[in-house]
Amino acid sequence: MKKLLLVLLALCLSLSVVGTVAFAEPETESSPVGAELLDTENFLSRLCELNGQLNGASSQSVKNEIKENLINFLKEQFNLAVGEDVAEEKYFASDTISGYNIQTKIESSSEQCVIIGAHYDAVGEGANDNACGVAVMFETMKYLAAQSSLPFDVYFVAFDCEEQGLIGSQHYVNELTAYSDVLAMFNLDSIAAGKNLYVMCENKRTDLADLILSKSETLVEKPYAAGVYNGYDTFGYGYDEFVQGSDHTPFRLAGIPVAVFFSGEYSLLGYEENAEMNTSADTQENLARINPDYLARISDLSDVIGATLTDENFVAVAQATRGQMINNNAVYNRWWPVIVLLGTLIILAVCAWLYSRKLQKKALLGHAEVKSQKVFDKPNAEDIFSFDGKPSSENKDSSDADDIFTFKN
Amino acid sequence: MFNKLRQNYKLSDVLIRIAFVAAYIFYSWQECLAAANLIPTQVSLSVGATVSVALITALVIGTALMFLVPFVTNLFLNASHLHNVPRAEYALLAHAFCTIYFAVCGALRLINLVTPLLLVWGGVIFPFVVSLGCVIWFYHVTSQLYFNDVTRPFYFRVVAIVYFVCAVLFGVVL
Repeated sequence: MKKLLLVLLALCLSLSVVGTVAFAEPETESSPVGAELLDTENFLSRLCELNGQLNGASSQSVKNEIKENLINFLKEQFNLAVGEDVAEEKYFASDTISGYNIQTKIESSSEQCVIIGAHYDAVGEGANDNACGVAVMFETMKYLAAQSSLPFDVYFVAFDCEEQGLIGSQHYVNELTAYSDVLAMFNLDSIAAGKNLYVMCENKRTDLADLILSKSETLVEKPYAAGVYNGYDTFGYGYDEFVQGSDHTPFRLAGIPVAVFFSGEYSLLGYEENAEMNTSADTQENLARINPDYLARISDLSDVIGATLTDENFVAVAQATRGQMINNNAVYNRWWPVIVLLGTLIILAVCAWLYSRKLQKKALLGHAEVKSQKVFDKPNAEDIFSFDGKPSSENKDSSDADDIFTFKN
Repeated sequence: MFNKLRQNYKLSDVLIRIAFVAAYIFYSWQECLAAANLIPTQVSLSVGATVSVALITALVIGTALMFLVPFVTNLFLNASHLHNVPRAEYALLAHAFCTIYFAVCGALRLINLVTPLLLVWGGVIFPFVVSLGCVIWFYHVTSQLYFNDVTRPFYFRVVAIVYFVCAVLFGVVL
């Protein structure tokens, strides 16, 4: 009996060990044991929490630690969303600032690609600007990962240092090798708090705008797109709107078609964002108060982007849009009117010079009425030809011109 | 009405100065509003407060320009040795034509609210065309009032040189 109990105990132990080995999840470097794919709300909460900690930290060492956590969190969730361990951080540094763009991808056999971007750096928690944008990108990853295959690669990039002047996206564009392979870039920035949800593609209607709008009933096109970059109206047609200064701008300047999603409200007075949403009050709690349906908006927008990218005409539309983009040649847009003005001024100067000569001639020949007393101040002809030494007024016979040349005795 | 104003110099001066500032506000409100829109990115400001800030900014700049015009006209007359022109009256006329310029340009700028297509071309061409018209009109009026056929060519040359210098400076260089 004792032996039987020992055998049973040994059997149970061996079975439990085999079971543990058989059903344990494989451990990866970026997907630690226990990591799970979060839903939108929890993803957003965690991102806001980490951003809040990062921007609230006082010492640099703490900031570095939180930043590392933030990067690892994004990589981990991105890997889980696309189902592959492909997320990577891309370090960049300028003279005064450094950061990490976080990139993941869904690959295909094609060389062409689409880039979906949203910046993850923030002021305070940055719920609207721009945790919600990253959340849309995250949801789009899930959407596209569930598709069978795509005819192009999709790169998802969480940009850093957008608030410091688009540094992360500019660096990313600098590193791109073939702009022509990028079919389009989709930028998501501050999409939740505003009353309306807008998409900007170009300063005129393009096929890409039409395709995106056909996938949504609530999206509103704002056609006056990427124009202002650091206060310089590069494209010549755009209004001076600050919303244009987002991560799509370096891509558009490189000649890549862009679609920018953002929220707000336009009126004759200009673009209105919720003022709270650009400060440390940009919290998830405030966002829920301002727009209670922000989670639905995130879900809807990711569906719109997903449906656009999976549309069978997308590649043709994106290629056609490249040909529809407004010429961003600075000479054409900025200097051509000035050159025309300069030419007109030269022609006018010649006309003015000719008119000046005419006026001068008129003055010298005295054809016109002359008012100045000085002009009349000349010798009287009667006095010149008076030979008797008396004033002509006293000589009654010398008043006629005929008498002037008459020699008197 | 116009003849009565011509007989009352002080009233004309006051009315033209008021019109000058009003026209400048009408001319520059879009730029002032764009500048004022910067503020909400730093502090929380309502739309009404932003508009007020824009209007006050335009009012202050317009008033400053109003006081600057007589200085500029005096400088112009002194530099060109045109000493036979009544300064105050000449400055009043300058105010009047600047008012016309601001009013017409302000009206043309309203096109930007309808379409942005003329933002750059309009931004260069509109001020040029309107300023050219105003300068020609101003020259015509002042040359008839204060100059004769002998002195008029010199006055024309001075006005033309100043206009072209300003047009190149503000339209091309800046």
